[in-house]
Amino acid sequence: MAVERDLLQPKRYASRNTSIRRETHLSYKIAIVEDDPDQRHNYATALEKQGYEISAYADRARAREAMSRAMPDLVVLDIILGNEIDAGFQLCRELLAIEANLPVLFLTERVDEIDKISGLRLGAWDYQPKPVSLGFLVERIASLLRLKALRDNPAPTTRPARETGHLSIDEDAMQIHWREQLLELTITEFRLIAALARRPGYPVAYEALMQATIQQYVTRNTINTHMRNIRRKFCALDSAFACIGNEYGHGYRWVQEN
Amino acid sequence: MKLGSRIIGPRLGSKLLLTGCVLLLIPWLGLQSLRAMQQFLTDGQAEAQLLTASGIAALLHGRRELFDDSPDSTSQLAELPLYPLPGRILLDGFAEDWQGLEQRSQLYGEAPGPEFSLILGANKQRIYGLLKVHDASPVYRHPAYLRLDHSDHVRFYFKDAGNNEGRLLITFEGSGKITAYAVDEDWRIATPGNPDYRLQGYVDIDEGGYSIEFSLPLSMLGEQRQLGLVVADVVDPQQRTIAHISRTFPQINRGDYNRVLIRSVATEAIIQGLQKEEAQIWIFDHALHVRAIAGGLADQTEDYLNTEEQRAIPLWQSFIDAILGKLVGASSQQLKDFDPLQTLSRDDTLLHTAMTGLGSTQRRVSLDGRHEIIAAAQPIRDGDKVIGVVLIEQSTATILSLQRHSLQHIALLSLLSLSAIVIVLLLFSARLTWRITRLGSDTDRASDEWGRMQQSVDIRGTHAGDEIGDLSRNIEQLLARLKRYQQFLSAIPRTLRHEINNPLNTAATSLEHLQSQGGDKTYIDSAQRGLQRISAIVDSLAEAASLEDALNSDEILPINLSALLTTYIKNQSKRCPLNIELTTPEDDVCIQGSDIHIEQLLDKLFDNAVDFATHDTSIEISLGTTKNHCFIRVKNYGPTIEKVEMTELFQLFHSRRSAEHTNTSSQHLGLGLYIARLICERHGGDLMVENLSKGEGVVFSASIALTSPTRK
Repeated sequence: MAVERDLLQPKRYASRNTSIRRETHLSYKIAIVEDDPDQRHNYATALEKQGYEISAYADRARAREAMSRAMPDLVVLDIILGNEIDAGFQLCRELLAIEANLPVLFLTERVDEIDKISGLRLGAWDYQPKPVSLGFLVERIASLLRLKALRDNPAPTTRPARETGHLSIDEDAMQIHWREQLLELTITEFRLIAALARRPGYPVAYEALMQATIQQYVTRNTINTHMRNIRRKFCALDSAFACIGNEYGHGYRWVQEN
Repeated sequence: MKLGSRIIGPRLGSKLLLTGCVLLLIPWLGLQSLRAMQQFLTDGQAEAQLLTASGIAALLHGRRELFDDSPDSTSQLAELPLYPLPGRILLDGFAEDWQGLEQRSQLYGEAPGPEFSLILGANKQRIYGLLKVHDASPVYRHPAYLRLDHSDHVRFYFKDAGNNEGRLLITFEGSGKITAYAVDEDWRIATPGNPDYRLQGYVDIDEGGYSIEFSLPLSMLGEQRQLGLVVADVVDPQQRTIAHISRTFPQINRGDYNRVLIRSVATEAIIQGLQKEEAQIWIFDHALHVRAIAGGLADQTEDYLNTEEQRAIPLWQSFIDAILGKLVGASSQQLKDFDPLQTLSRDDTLLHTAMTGLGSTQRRVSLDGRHEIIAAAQPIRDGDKVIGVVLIEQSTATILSLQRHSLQHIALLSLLSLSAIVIVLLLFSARLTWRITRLGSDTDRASDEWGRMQQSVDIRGTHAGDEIGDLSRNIEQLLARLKRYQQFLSAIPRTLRHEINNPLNTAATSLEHLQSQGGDKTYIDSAQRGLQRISAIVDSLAEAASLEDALNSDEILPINLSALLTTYIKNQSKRCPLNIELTTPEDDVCIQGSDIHIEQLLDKLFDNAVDFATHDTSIEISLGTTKNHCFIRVKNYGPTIEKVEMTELFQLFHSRRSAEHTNTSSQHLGLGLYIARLICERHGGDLMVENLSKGEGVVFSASIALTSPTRK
């Protein structure tokens, strides 16, 4: 539990200058599928430092064969593996067919919107474009594992959900409800909404939002794209949704509904 | 790029028309061949005339009696010349219709007897005469007297068909028609009492005397053709006795008068059968006196009086006549070739040549100057002696009218065919020009003014089988290839980003490991900055390349531009060191668009303005509207832009930033204004730049299509 508590403090990794501390996570097995040996090695090293049990694979066939024998707790997938352009997607489909609750994190150079959407549609838990910071990766994996633990053993929340109007933010479960309906969000999107709704009515600068994503290279465009996607998700639940307001030349703000 | 912006030389249609002018050679060549044919035909006609003349001459060969019909008894008589007349003469006492012939009048009589002049002429039926008597005080006939010799009078002596003497007397009571009476031998009493209407006339009296115009039928005279005129003058109106008498012949008692030089009836009878239309045959004796005339040139018998009326022809016809006359020398007007004065002299050379025994032809212009006449003369022989000449005159009118007819045909056909060809050429060239222009505009439309291919390229007219169809298909293929190439090019940044992201990730993660292992912080930081820049560059490239897709996929929402701009400037002025002035119109300006991209546009323009603004100046931003567009003008004071650079300013990868102009530290790829322009175009507008009039700065104007707030 102490381990998990530690993981629940994401702020520790918010800055990329934060050093990654060695922790012990003996209980979690993580599989990395990445065809580039350098990157694979870097991920593995960083995660092993956290105490995870790492198994790394370079191609789809070997990864599938090994994983079907012993399912890991979480998979980090690259999409292009060698000559197979959609190997990551295919592998994701195959693994989820075996283990539907398996958290899959796509970590890929394919940054186009269409790839992102198709990855999430397949049932992946998160989709991260390269380049990624190791600190971010570690934090992201920890979040996903914590989510998985929560879903596997639903326990009473340690902290009550924060309520802002019809918005309810559950920081522990990383879940957001709008008018008591659950929003399907990626972790980045969750973080952006959380950052916006921290001080309703006040404008949040682009720079602050960029920080909130804890991604390494973020532009205004990235934020705008995220915001558009978030708006769409809200509007899918509530067509009258208008709580995210542009603060042109500065950033965004959470507009409190009357 | 713009069609028609530079016009070099004539257009296609004009060129085709110019080429078509070569067709004008056809009527010209036709005219030339017509002229050659005219020459040939007139030569032929001359030959034929000469032959005919020979034929007639052969017919009269040796017929000496025909040229020597005067009996001995009359051969010594004084001759009265008889001039040929073209037609009828109006008997009115005036000399006009004699057309100058009256100058050849002969004078008779000596003082104290009455002096008078006489001219005689004849047409085919009648003899005409004009008698002018000098008598200052004429004595008129007294109606109460029965005797006819108690006044001034004129006596006609002649011998009739039966060779009997005939006597006719003319007297008068004043100007007017005269009456002739046959009288007794003493010239006193009218013998039958009735007027002899064969002799007609008119007397006109003036101060100098009186003139009588008269006519009598040729048949009145017998074979001897004797005619004599006597003018009797009564001086005393009281006494009324004949004072003096003047005669045209010497002896009054011998029963011989004057011999009238009349044409030979027998000869005329012979050549009558040879009469040709539009040809005149003359037979002359050895003294070149006219012996016989047959036929006539054109309508010579018509009255002189009617000629004036006939000239009243429509203007257009005379115009055409003038043109055709210039071309072929033909005239549709009547031939006028009769001039009694010249009748005998004009062909003199020809006749004299013939008298020496040689036949020849000659061409001359008719007396009215409008026609050409061919004259052929052949001698008539009697043994070795030439006893006469046959002269045939014929106008070339037949040939000319034929030619004229042909020319009219040619002219009409040429005109029709030419206009048909011109119309067809025009239509064809218009069609060609239209197709080429359409192809040109289609091609032009295929890319925008910056050279980007449009999404849908539609080249029309690719089904045509001709060369333009080929060209259309080629252009269509070319454009398709270009489009594929452009797609490939625009995919490059994205592919590049995919490819670069992997090594970038390797480097970034490796750096992190280095950092965690306590590597030199200075180098790690600079390496990280480098990576960050690479990442930003790749991102910008991909952004520019995929911006169009993004723009097309963005939601279009109503935006209150005034509010957006106000918020934007409020936020910018917090962080910008320069003073920002915003002017917006009172009414809200509403557009349809993507607010994020409008913000991006403002970012680019604002960054640009800040970068080039000199210190302590302000940036002026204004919003204005026209009927269909609104304008966001961003003005900064600073260096101006050279004209050459202005066109390239909005191109990809064009940057005018140098180290000294850059106020911000971030790198510039020359993407900003390119993206700004794309955003403006996406919003139905354009991005323009101009230097301030005094050269103190630059103003960028972004136009965006306007929508009225009601359309929300």
